[in-house]
Amino acid sequence: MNSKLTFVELVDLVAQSANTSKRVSELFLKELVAQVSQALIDGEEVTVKGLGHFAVERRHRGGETTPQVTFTPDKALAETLNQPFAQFETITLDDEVTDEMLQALDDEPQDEPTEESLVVDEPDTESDEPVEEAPVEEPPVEDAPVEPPVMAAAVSSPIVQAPQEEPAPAPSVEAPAPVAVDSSATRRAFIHGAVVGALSAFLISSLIALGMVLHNRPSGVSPSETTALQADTIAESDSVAPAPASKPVVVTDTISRTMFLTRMAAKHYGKPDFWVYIYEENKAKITDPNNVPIGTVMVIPPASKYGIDPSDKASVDLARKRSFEVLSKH
Amino acid sequence: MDNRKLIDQLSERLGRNKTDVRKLMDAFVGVVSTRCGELDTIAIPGFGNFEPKKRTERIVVNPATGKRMLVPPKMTLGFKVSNVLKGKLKK
Repeated sequence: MNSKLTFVELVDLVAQSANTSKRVSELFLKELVAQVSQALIDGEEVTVKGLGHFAVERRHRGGETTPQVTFTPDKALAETLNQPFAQFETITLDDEVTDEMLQALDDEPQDEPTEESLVVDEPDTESDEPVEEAPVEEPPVEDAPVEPPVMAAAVSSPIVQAPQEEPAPAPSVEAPAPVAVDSSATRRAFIHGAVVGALSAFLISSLIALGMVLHNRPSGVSPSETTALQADTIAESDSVAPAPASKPVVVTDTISRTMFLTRMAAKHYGKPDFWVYIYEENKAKITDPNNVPIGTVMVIPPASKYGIDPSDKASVDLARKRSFEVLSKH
Repeated sequence: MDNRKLIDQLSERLGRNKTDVRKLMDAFVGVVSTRCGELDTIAIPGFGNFEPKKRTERIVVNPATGKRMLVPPKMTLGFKVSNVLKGKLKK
């Protein structure tokens, strides 16, 4: 009731309901969201059967346009949601009914709340209910007496369920936890700090080392070594290039259902973390690295161009850092 | 993009047949419908929130006849788009 369902819970529920694993359901939901978003970005409208219709409306105000997503729920879904109020219809009021009479009706339930006492059990969710019921009870239409009991039934059923679900597990679980955590928490914080310190020290030193390596390269590394490196990657790639590696050969690969950027990087460079360099090389073709269309042909840059070396930890860390930067933009 | 095209694309991207995808889709719609019926908000990061809203009853005037009408309360499902997607749409 009135709570927020997180993505993890949604994944769980969908997996249960469809009788599949959480992994499948998570992949499905992510893909669904990605597809719908992409279609909206492309300016299309999307209809999801059973859910509703998504469209983008661009409003012009003060010289700038703000996109607005409008969502119209599916008719069946809207009806299911409106079940508790389904029996009401729009009523035409007679001319004799004046504002004062309606006002009097609005005030009435506050004078005699005893009749509603069975509803008042959970005031925060249903407190506005009596106010709504009141006008429908008394307006000049004859069928009024039939409705309140139905309404009461509809309203009371969720309330009866709510208290049963909640109170039991909470107190017993909460009590012992803080005591145990308190003593170990300080120690953990200390260890945590030490680990973070050591890691950052290592990162800084490795970055410096990398800088030195890069700086020295032009003089230190002979051209024959670089071509050998290139030959290595091309031999690994096994896709296009049996040709001799003396000339720089453009290696390409195609995105497919089973071949994403990360897998491509693992295949060509030995580690998936290097996907970011493939992304950099093909920036023009990729709008969102999380959702690259199938069939897009990627140019795989030679490993030497970005200093890619899967056995060197500094190089891997650098790639991770850059991929984090790229992902935070999307 | 209509529903059939969406299912086609999803089944291609996920590598599952369309029956499976339809089953998952039905499950998702079922979850949304039951949980929103209980007035729960469903949050999907990077996309938006599905928020059920209660509209209270109100009186409207028919401008043609001048008759006043009492419109009953209603539950509706709203969708609030996330800032991430909004930012992407702006581009």
